[in-house]
Amino acid sequence: MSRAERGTGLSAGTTCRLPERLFVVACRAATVAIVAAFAVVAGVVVWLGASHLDAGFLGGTVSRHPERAGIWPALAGTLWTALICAVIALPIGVGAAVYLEEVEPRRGVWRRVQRFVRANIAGLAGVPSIVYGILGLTVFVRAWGLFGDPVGPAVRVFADTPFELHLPPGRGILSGGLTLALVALPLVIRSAQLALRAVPQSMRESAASLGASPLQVVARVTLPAALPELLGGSLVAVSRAVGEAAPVFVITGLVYVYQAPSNAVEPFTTLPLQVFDWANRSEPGYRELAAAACIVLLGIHVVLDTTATLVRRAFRRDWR
Amino acid sequence: MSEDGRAPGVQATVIEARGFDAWFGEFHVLRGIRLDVTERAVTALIGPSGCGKSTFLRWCNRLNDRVRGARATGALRIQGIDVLGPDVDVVELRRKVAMVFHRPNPFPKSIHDNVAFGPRLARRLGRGDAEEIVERSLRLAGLWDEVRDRLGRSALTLSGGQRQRLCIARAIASDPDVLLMDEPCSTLDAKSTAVIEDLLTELKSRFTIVLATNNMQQAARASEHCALLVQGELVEFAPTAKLFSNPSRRETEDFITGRSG
Ligand SMILES: Nc1ncnc2c1ncn2[C@@H]1O[C@H](COP(=O)(O)OP(=O)(O)OP(=O)(O)O)[C@@H](O)[C@H]1O
Ligand SMILES: [Mg+2]
Repeated sequence: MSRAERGTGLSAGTTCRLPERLFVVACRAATVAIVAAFAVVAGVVVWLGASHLDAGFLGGTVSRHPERAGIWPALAGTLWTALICAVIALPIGVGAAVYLEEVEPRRGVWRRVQRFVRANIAGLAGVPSIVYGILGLTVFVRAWGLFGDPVGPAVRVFADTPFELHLPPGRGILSGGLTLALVALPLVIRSAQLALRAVPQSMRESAASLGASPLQVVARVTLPAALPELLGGSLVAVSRAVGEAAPVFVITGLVYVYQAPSNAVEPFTTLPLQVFDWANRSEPGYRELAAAACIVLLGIHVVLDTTATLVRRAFRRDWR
Repeated sequence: MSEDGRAPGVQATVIEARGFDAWFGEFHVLRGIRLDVTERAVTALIGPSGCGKSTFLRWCNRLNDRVRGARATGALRIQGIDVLGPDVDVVELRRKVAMVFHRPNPFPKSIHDNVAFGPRLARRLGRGDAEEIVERSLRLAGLWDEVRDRLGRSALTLSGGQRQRLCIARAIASDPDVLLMDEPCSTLDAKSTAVIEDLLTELKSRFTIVLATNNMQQAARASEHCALLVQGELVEFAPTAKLFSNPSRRETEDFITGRSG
């Protein structure tokens, strides 16, 4: 929507009456306060951490000496869990959104399921992430204890290869990524639902009138038309999930990991957890480390969010 | 006698409605419609807003299937197919009975992909085939010369009148038999309207056209037959010239002279 389309003429200028101007000034103050708060936080973080940021920090590993410590294991853990989270949450989330928005179930049972999920999905997005952490611990790490303990898993396949998998899956990046996918899913579904709803009904009708089967309407018109918003929203959701410390903490506990995970089951850590650990130490030097790790975490967010915006824009340009 | 056994000058009936009724939920929208749409001619549907013109068109290609609570009874046959029948192949029907909507609604795809959309639903098209279909359809819709250099550009770069002609090209690309047009000019200016009306005279040599319109001059200019619907009932159905110059019903006269509706 362009500025002109939604312009209201509301401003603090002399063309408006006094109550309107006071209202505008109040809203402007709120905006400035937000910007200021973020600027202070970002400023402090950068001021504390910037001096640590170098190749040694990015590529280094945990150390007893703060000046030699690095974040490579945590960074790798974050990237891997993000990838697993995205690969799982995107198709499932988009599929669920298509079911909720585009499918008209014939049977009453499925109608009720659809209505129930539709009504509750927003609430699911608001569930505290630690709850998903507990869920992930029960389901992924322990698999309800059906297959023994994570320490002595009942099933091991591809042992000693990068594809090593266990049952129960244990405390590796697989369980971490799946748990973050749980955190991201409601958000992915929400944003995909909104993206699908934004496609005008007339698009679906004209596709149908041209002889598109219901599946073709979804696959060739609705989904492509919703794609930019859909991808953009999903990236934001993944980016949110990746920043969560609590669910990963429940999965892994605080562990000292000296190298990037080399398979899906060995212990790992992520940037938020690393920040949490460092920020809690009283010895000198660790606060700066925590701040530097925060900068990297923020950098990942900026990259993901910018990608989301670029994706939206790149596709849209094609349409104008 | 011509080759298909019909007397010359006597045109076949393509759409045949007998005792056709339609509802939205409890609301009885169309009552006892009896209508014959002749092959390769323009049949206009006129009548006050809300009289059921769109509803009739949307039953002809079963688009109302998508509307919850919509149902219809009676006989509606298109080229012998029982449109309301339980085992009619709706997808197949819609390929034969294409539709142009009152608001131009191209897909957010390239001009080329808009036109090729229908044919590609039915089969995989080679590049050459697609190009041929796209050019033929755009020429028929009178848009080729304006867009030949920018087929790859988004359809949303076109003006309103061009978009509507693109929608016409898109509708005829699958080579349908019937073209349903629901107030195709209602959002267009006089000039674009004139372009599309000229187009109608070309198109009717190839397609059977049903034109719903709010614009009586348009019906008078562009159609051979004209049906007046008022509150879901067919008031009069006659050759256009007769309906406008010598209506046989009082309501028709009132409507065309603007005393009602
Ligand atoms: N989806 C729907 N659900 C319920 N009622 C509907 C629906 N669509 C149309 N109607 C009603 O059916 C009646 C006929 O509508 P229709 O759209 O066929 O009118 P129309 O003759 O095309 O009018 P216009 O000239 O304004 O386009 C109207 O009273 C309308 O309110
Ligand atoms: Mg209408």
